[in-house]
Amino acid sequence: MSRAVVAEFTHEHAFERAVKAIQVETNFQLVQTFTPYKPNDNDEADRRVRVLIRWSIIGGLIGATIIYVVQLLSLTLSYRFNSGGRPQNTWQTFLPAAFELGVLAAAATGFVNFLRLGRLPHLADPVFDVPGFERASQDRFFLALQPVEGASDLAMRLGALRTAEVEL
Amino acid sequence: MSAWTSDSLRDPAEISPIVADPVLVRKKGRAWWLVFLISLVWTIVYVSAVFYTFMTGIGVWGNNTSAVWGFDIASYVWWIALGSGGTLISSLLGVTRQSWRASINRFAEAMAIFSICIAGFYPIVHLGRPMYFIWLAPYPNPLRLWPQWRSALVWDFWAISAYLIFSILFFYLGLIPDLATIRDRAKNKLVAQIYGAFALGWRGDRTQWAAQETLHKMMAITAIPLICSVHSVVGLDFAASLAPGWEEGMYPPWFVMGAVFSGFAIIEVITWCMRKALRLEAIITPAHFEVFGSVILASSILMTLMYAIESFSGWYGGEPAEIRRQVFQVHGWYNWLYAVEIFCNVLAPQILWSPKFRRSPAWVTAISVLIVIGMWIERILIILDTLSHDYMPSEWRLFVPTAIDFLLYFGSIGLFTFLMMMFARVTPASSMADTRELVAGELS
Repeated sequence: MSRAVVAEFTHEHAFERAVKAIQVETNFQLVQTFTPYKPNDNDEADRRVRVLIRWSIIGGLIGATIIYVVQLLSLTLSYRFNSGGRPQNTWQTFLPAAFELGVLAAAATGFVNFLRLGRLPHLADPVFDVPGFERASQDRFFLALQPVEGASDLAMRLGALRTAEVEL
Repeated sequence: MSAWTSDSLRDPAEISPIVADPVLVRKKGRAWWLVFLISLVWTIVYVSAVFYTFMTGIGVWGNNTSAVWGFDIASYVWWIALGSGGTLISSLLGVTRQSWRASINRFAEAMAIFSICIAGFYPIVHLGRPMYFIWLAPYPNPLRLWPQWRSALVWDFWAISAYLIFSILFFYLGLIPDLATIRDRAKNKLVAQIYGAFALGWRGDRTQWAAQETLHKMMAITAIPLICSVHSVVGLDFAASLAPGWEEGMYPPWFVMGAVFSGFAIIEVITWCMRKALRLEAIITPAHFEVFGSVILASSILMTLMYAIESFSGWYGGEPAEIRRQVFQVHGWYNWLYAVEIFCNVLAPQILWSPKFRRSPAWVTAISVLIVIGMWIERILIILDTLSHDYMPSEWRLFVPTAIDFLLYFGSIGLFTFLMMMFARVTPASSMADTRELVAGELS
């Protein structure tokens, strides 16, 4: 946890210009942004969360393998029955359930990772104490920058409506 | 501005009150109460019909004859197909980057969940001993029994279960940012806390948006083969048998195509209702209905092709029972239903070739209603034309539905309507985040 200045912007264009200016500015670091929809320039965050896809694929393969093996073992070992002399290992018939459970497992794994990466649930984040932050989910754009000395002045120069200091 | 939003929209900020007000602010009018009460009555009828069936047995239905499947399985297939439309709106249109889906995908996904729930209950109700439906699942038991993994009915269990849980996750994932908006707009503290709990503390930071969008895209991509596999498995319930008219390789793609067709039709009807009831004219425009009209017309042509292929392969295969069934379909006891099916699914949608009708929300909605009816008739005829006219002439018997059959079917529609009414009152019916992004992109 460290202190940061959270600045509020009324329009997306001013907000995007401020984000670019702060990223160029060497004395300050853009800690986080809070927007009512996905920001345009989010490449770095997109790269960080790509691990979600990898874990989903692994989860899906594990889920599909488990149900495939359950079917295989049940029909070839546990409950063998002679059905017109047909082979026991009818692997083609194992595929539908394996596919369905694989997709579900991938989705569930992805969802768990989405919660982990987004640090959810987190009902009592300090940023909710910033005045006016309830509009971050509606029509206002917020950014947090560090260090706090001089950050407020910079934000106001870049077109912020108001600023507040908070422990993030 | 584009065709997908009204010219009166000048700012993404206007989206929040348009979508959130029906949940938080707007009082329920007389029309809402009327529809709510009618749907509640039919829901009670549905529950009563289910109870009566459980207490007395499925002999209270009309399938106490050689037509062992009747309204139950036809309705099951019909409801699953309707549900797929909702998932396809979100997934297929999302993957192909159709921005016009932004304002309709929320209620489309909700509709999918309710349809799957109603559909999934039918196979349980139709069992003579419904308490043994759990035998479909591989649970430890002293009899050392396992499910019959080689049966399409067991594949159904996995397909429907996976589809339902997947749809709930998909729906909730997209809903979280909008729940945060409702949390932040609510004046009542308890309301804010309840929505806040379900919003999980969403803040809208960069990582959250990136993770949400990445997972949403991934799930959209995997939803498409999931829907195809779910409907193929439903088709295999028939195709994996030996009955004339059912034992056809084209059943899986036919059922998937039917799901696209009826799914888009029901979504169109619900879009029309939601637009009127919740006053979403600013974000659901006549352009949406024109696109629906085009998709429905294309689907109708493909369905016509499917019907033609079915007839051709039956004739070309030369199997006597199959040819007899095809003749029965046109000249037999249910031929009047077949005429209605062809009118609703093949003939009526052709008026959408005309831009005048395709651009009219009222006409496209009327055609969509006919399609939804026609597709239910198609499911009924798939079942009855085969079971009423099987290999043995001694098995050729008329199916006569009972009052319980009708009460259960219309009751399920009442239950669905009731659930959609509740959804529209407690959940933002359109995706505010997606629509804001759409409007912001159009304005920039």
